[in-house]
This record gives sequence, structure tokens and C-alpha cells, in this order.
Amino acid sequence: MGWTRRQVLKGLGGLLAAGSALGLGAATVAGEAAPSGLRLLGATEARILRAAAERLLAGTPLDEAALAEVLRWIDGYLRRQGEPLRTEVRGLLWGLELSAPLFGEGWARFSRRDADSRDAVLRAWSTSRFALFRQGYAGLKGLVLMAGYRQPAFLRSIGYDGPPHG
Amino acid sequence: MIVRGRERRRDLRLDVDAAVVGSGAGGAMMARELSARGLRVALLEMGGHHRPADFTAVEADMLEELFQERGARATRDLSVRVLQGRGVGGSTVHNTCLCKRAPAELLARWKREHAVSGASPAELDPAYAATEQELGVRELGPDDLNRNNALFRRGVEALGYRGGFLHHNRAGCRGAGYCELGCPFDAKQNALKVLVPAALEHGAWVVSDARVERVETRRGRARGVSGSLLDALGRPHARFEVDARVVCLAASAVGSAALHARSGLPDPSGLAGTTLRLHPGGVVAGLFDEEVVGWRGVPQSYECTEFLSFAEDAAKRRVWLVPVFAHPIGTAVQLSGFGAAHGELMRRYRHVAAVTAMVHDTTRGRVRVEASGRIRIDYWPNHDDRAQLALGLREGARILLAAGARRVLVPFEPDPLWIDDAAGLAAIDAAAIRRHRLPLTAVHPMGTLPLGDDPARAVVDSRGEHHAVGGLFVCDGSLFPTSLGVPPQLSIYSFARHLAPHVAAAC
Ligand SMILES: Cc1cc2nc3c(=O)[nH]c(=O)nc-3n(C[C@H](O)[C@H](O)[C@H](O)COP(=O)(O)OP(=O)(O)OC[C@H]3O[C@@H](n4cnc5c(N)ncnc54)[C@H](O)[C@@H]3O)c2cc1C
Ligand code: SF4
Repeated sequence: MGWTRRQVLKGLGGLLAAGSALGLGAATVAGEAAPSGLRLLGATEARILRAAAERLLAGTPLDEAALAEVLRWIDGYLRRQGEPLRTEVRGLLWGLELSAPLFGEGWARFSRRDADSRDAVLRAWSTSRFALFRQGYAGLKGLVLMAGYRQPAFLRSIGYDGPPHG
Repeated sequence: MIVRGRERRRDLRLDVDAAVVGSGAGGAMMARELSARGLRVALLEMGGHHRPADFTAVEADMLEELFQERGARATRDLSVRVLQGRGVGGSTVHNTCLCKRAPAELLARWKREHAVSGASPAELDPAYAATEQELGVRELGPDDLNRNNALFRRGVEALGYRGGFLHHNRAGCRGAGYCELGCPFDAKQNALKVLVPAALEHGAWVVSDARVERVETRRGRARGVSGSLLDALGRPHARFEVDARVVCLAASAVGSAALHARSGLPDPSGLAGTTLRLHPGGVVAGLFDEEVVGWRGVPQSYECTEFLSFAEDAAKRRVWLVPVFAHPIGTAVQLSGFGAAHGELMRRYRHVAAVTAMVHDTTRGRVRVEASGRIRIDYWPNHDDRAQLALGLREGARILLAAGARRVLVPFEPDPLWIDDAAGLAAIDAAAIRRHRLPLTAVHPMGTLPLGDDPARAVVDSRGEHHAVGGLFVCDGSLFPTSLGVPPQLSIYSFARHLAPHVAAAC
């Protein structure tokens, strides 16, 4: 049975609130600055997104510069999209960060996990019996792939000779 | 007169005979038809007014600029991606130019079951014929086949299935293959190129970046519309009000139903926004030894109608098969999984041919407006439609194998289903098609404000006028009382043309 968007938001909003309460919010993480060029995502959100993007785009020409560009583009895209999507995506990131125990994957936060363990959490989301998680996975995957496959190096790597990004 | 709302910071007030909301197939045709009759028309469009040079063919940029919700529109649970246009010309700017008339059997059913009058094939013929002539619709031939379509044709013919060339509205096409991102060569004979300039010539106002937020009524009659002028990022920066004797909704099956709801219009049948059809589609991909380079050339030139019938006893054949190809982002989001496995699939991009199976659906979806103002679409195909989808994907895979594909991939999440021979096809059944397990896409929303003469079973009458609000007309894809089963643009253009005399008479 699918969850309603309200339930999704409530669920993710709950995780977001929990994240803040646990002192994980962007403003409360001492000594961690958001990567330069980001105007919407806080330092911790950027770290979670980066950890997810690294795995979602493994197997592509993803280097440091490309990863930074993925983050920068998503930050801009969310700003252009406005509310309520912005808040939902931020809630989604926090959901990802804190959800591993629900899948029996231990207590470590997503962004602190090694590659295999992050893959396990992403896969658990994609196959969950709760529509909430599958939906979150689909949304995050779409966003990250869009941010990746707009970059010239990605296009070259698959032999696409369409117009490079201007 | 062109007004670009993003460049205008002052409020705007107009007094016209007809306000047309949305400038796609239905709206642009209606605006041209009314202005050609000497009426004062305001064509209001929430997106930008683009020139061919704006169509850069850069996928991410065009998705953001030309599509609703910056390319992110989907059903509420993200299980079906819904692609729709935003900008002068609407979805005709980035569609693939297929033109087909509504089948005669379907029109007969509309008359019989939905009390639609005045819309028999003979009565619609003048509007269809004039539209085909005006948009330069012609049948394609072997020279128009790119490799993706040629392989599809080979498979269809090898299996002895019914197939044929499609009709298109393009002129001077160079086969560049960017149709879905807007044509940089201005080769599409669409609403933006043909109808909007004609409306302007006849003196219409074309106001872009103008989001209509409310249909204004007085004593049961439409008397105009109001809304916001948007800046380049889509943020309101000024207001507009248009006083009009009639209002025509042409904001698409999603946008018109949303505006109907937002405006709190009466809905005696209770149907407004509750009969959404989508022609939901899924994709199968064949891997070939040869290079296909499917993004080059005319994207869709050949069809297979073996499993699509409109005859009375044809309930079990409701799926249309046609080649399809997406640019890299569109492909990446459709493919299974993530990481190394996904990257490996993407590297075979040049060797892929793909087929989409699109269902002539019976599912009733819904369009609503959330408290935040966001449009909410609920739709998941019912069991019969999922069975049709499975049939279509099986047959699409069979066609690809017959064309010489080494393997065929069905992009289930998180792992693809690989099919190496006909024996493997049985694995694609209705039970396999579950939410988020198979990405579905819809490009033909229809049917949310259906027409018919019985106010208990339709929102507007057969002349397109609202049953409960005088002077309010609908002239876009919302009109259809069922799914159409064929690409809808030609019917939307032609219905608008066919209904225009009634609208003019009400002005
Ligand atoms: C990728 C793709 C390929 C397609 N290929 C084909 C094809 O080959 N053949 C075919 O027949 N069909 C095709 N279609 C579908 C076809 O283009 C549409 O069915 C058709 O254009 C719909 O016409 P319409 O007038 O109902 O709405 P649209 O053409 O979508 O126009 C509606 C317009 O209203 C505007 N609008 C919405 N809300 C508001 C508001 N509140 N205020 C002001 N303006 C508003 C929108 O921005 C939009 O410009 C395709 C669609 C897509 C997405
Ligand atoms: S294939 Fe033709 S219509 Fe499509 S983008 Fe290229 S030139 Fe334009």
C-alpha cells in the first residue's frame, strides 16, 4: 500500500526534526562549512548528498570537480524550484542519513558509511515495501543523474555527441 | 501585440472579447480562430515566449525551460513521470510531430456512451483537413527512418505485424533529433511557429510568463481571468487582470483542471479533474552489435498497431508500439539501478534501440491542487491497463529480438530483467508492473473536463461550453471523454478549430 504524500512529508519531516534535535542540523555542526558555491544546502545536507551522489554515480567519470558540480547544480535547481519541493528534498536527505537502522543496517549515519554499506542502504530504499522509501530513492536518483548526465565528461563517456553544455 | 511578462514589472490590465488560457495545441488554435474573426483576444501563457535560437538542445537546460515543474512533474508518488510543456506553443514545442485523426469507432462510442454530438468523423473532417493542410501534415517514408526506427520496422515486418509510416507536421527537417528539446532549426509546423504568429497578425495579445490563477465569474458567467506575471525564475513580480466576455481554458488536461479547482467553479457532475487519462508508457531496450545512435534523426517515424484496435470487441488490444529514444538524462533516469551497474548500461548507449508501449487507458486518474498551491496528480494504471502494458512490453521486446537484438532489457528496479530469446518473454506480466519497480512515463494527459450533452456525465457540452458557467469554454486535451488511443495533438488542434464558431458566437 502506498503512503500518501502527507505521510511521506510527516515521516521525512519527523526525521528532519529528529536530525535537528540530535544536533545534526547545518547550523549546529561546529567546524563544518558548506562547500563553497552552495546557497541552499547546509554543510550536513551537502555531505549527505555528496555521499549519495558518489554511490549513485559510481562507474561514471566522477571526479572531485564533477562531484562539486553535481552539488552546485542541485543546490541551484532546488532554489529555482522553490517550495515545497525544497523542503521535501532536504527532508529526504535527512531521511537517508538516519534511516539505516530501519533496515537492520546498523546505527551509523549514511554519510559516515563506507561505499558498500551506503550501497546497501540505497538498495534497501529501492526495494522497500513502503512506497515512501521507493519514492525517495526514485526522486534522489533522478536528481543526481540529471546533475551528472548534463556534464560534458559524462556525455563523452557514453559516446553522446549532442551539444555539450554551453 | 507581444507582452513578455518576465520583462514587465508593472501590472497589466486588458479588456478583450476572449481570454484564452494556455497557448498549446488547443489555445493557440482557438486564439488564431477567434482573432481571425475580428475578435479581440488575449492569449495568456505561464511559460516564456521562445525564439528558435533559444532552443539550444542542451537537455538539462531545455528540460528546465520548456517543461512543467522544470521537468520534474510526476504523479504524487513519483511512479509515473508526466511530461508537459510550458511556454508559448505549449507541448507542441517539444513534441515529436506525430499526427493522427481520432478513430471513427471511438467517435461513435463518444456519441453513444457520452452523448457527444456534432463530432462524427464527417462533422470533424473539415477541421481535421484544414489543420492538416495548415500544419503541412504528410506521411513519412523510408528516407525518414533513422536506425532506431529502421530496426523497429525490420522487427515488425519479420513478425508479420501490422505497421506503417506515421504522419508528421514538419517542414525542412534536418533530422537533427532534438525534437523533444525544441527544434533549433524551426522545422516544426507547430503552435509556436504557425498559429501564434497568425493570431498576432490578427491583432491578438500574446502575454507570456502570465500565470492565470483564477477564472473570475459573476452571476454564473465567466467575466475574465486574473493572475501573476512571472520573472525569469517563475516568481510572481506583477499582477494582471483580463476582463473578457468569454474565457477559454486551454492550459492542458492537468492545468485546466487545476485552474477549474483553484477557481472554485461549480461542478454539477462531480467529474472535473477526476477522469484523467495519460496513455501511460513503459520502455524496453534492445542491445545491438551495431551502433544505433538512436538520438540522431527523426525520433518516431514508424508504428506498430498490431495490438491496438478500436473495434467493439477489442478490449484486449489496447496498446500502441512505437520506437522511442531519449537523450542522456532521459535515458539515465529510466535505466535500472545505480552506480557501477548503471554506468555500465549507460556506456552501451550508442548500441541501444528502444520501443515504448503506450496504453489506450481506462484508468481514471485525478488532478487536484494542494494547500501549497502545487498541482497534485494521482494515477496508477488499473489491472487491465497493467496487463496491456505487459502485453506491449512483451511484444516490443519480441520485435527487438526479431530485429536482431542480442539481448533485451526491461528496466525494472533495482535490477533489469534481461531477455535473450522468446522463451524469456513470459517473465513480463501484469504482476511485474508495480509502483516504482518499472518507470512509467506519460506525455498525453487528457480527459479531465470531458464534453457531452448530459450535464450529469460531462463538465462541458458538445460545443465546449461549461454546463454550469456561461461563457466558459474548454478547448484543449481536457475535452476528451475517454482516452484517445492515438497521439492527441491533431485532434486537440482540430477540436479547437471545430468549436471556435460556437465560442465566437458567445463573444
Ligand atoms: C515529449 C512529448 C512528445 C509528444 N509527442 C507527440 C506527438 O508526436 N504527437 C502528438 O499528437 N502529441 C504528442 N505529444 C502530446 C501533445 O503535444 C499534447 O497532447 C498537446 O500539445 C496538448 O495540447 P493542449 O492544448 O491540451 O496542452 P499543451 O500543449 O500542453 O498547452 C498547455 C499550455 O498551457 C499553459 N498553462 C498551464 N497552466 C496555465 C496557467 N494557469 N496559466 C497560463 N498558462 C498555463 C502551459 O504552460 C502550456 O503551454 C507529446 C508530448 C510530449 C511531452
Ligand atoms: S529532427 Fe527535425 S524537427 Fe526534430 S529537431 Fe531536428 S530538424 Fe527539428
